[in-house]
Amino acid sequence: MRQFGELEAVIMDRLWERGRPALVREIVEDMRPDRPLAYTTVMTVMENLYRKGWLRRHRDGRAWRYEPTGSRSGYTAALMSDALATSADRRTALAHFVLQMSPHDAELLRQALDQARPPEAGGTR
Amino acid sequence: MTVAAILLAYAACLGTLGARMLGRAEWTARAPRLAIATYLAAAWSVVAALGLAGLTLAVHATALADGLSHLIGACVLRLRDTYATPGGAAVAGLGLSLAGVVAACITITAVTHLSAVRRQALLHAQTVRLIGRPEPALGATLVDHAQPSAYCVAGPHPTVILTTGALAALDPDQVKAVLAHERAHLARHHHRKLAIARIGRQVFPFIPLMRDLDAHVTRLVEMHADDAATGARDARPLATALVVLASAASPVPVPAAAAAATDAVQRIQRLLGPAETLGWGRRQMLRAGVAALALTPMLIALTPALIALTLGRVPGG
Repeated sequence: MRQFGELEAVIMDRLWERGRPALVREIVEDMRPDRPLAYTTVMTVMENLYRKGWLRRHRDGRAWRYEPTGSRSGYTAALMSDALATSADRRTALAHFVLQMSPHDAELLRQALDQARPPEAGGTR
Repeated sequence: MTVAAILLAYAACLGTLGARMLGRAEWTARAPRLAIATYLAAAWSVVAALGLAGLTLAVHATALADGLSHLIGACVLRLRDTYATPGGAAVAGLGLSLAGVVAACITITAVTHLSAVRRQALLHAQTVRLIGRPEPALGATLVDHAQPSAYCVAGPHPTVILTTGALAALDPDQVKAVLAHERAHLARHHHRKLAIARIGRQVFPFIPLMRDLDAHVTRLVEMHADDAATGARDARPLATALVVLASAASPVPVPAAAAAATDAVQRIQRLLGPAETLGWGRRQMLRAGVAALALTPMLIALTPALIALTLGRVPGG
């Protein structure tokens, strides 16, 4: 299961790099030099990704052609807005290092830092 | 009746005056872990007192007396006497309803909140795994995004996430400090404490202690993670990282930023100031306080039973 998770990331990488719909066979061949995998393994992982909504597919003869439902940067933007959302559930799920603050507060903090800098460090900077 | 009244009064005092005392206490920032334990024990104490107040009202008129007498070996009739309430069945029914409502509200809220959090965490961790790049050297997953940010997801796949923006904005020492802070959140299961605090606030928003629980625990787990990340080392990399990441321009408006900013100011002052830990004696006293908070409602509730016990045991029991 854990290995499948790691394969999912690798296969998504390949599909994003390709930029056009791919057959399972094409992905297997694409990966063979670095990572020889059984056809059925790649097919299972891609079907999983399809069921989870990461890939969409259409018929091509007797096989399926798969492509990502969104671009990598689109998913990244969605992830970051999810990460910065402030609903109670999300705040429990994700612990942030720090949330954003006003420029005024940030300035106060900078001053506090400057004062705390030991003299020798202050001299060299 | 008296016992129930005492329990309710205890819950009211702790829920209002207790909250004010804890909120003002200066030691909480010096011993964040103990402070978290104190807050959670106080919250538990209020909830337990409310539930037990309901149950003690019902002991006299219901089969609870049989169970209790069985448990501690006191005479059932004496037990019924010591827990006697005027009003009989009606008051007993009221008491049982109180205990039932408290238990039901907590259960429903906990199940809803925890399943929502779990779903969120799973989905987020999965997305991070697919779009991010694991960096074993850092012990974090790198996400390609300009916004400098660092955070962690607990749950089935605990993950620390760092954006490329954060990596560019921080020097290596600062990155190390930030990641140590995030790993401390995961290692010390801070998400569990936060979940309890949030459930408490959702169920009892009308009790000051419970209403503020969330904000206090949030502030304290950050301090606890700060302490874990710095240890005996120089705290300046972490403090600087706080300023850098907090002042990075955000395209997303964050409504909770006001409270978070005050917390961040406090955290930085605390990191830069001299380390002020509590003495051994003070810590032991606070630990005893946590235990007292956890046990007091039970002791109050059982006092009549203990009286019944000293008045005489069941023959042969």
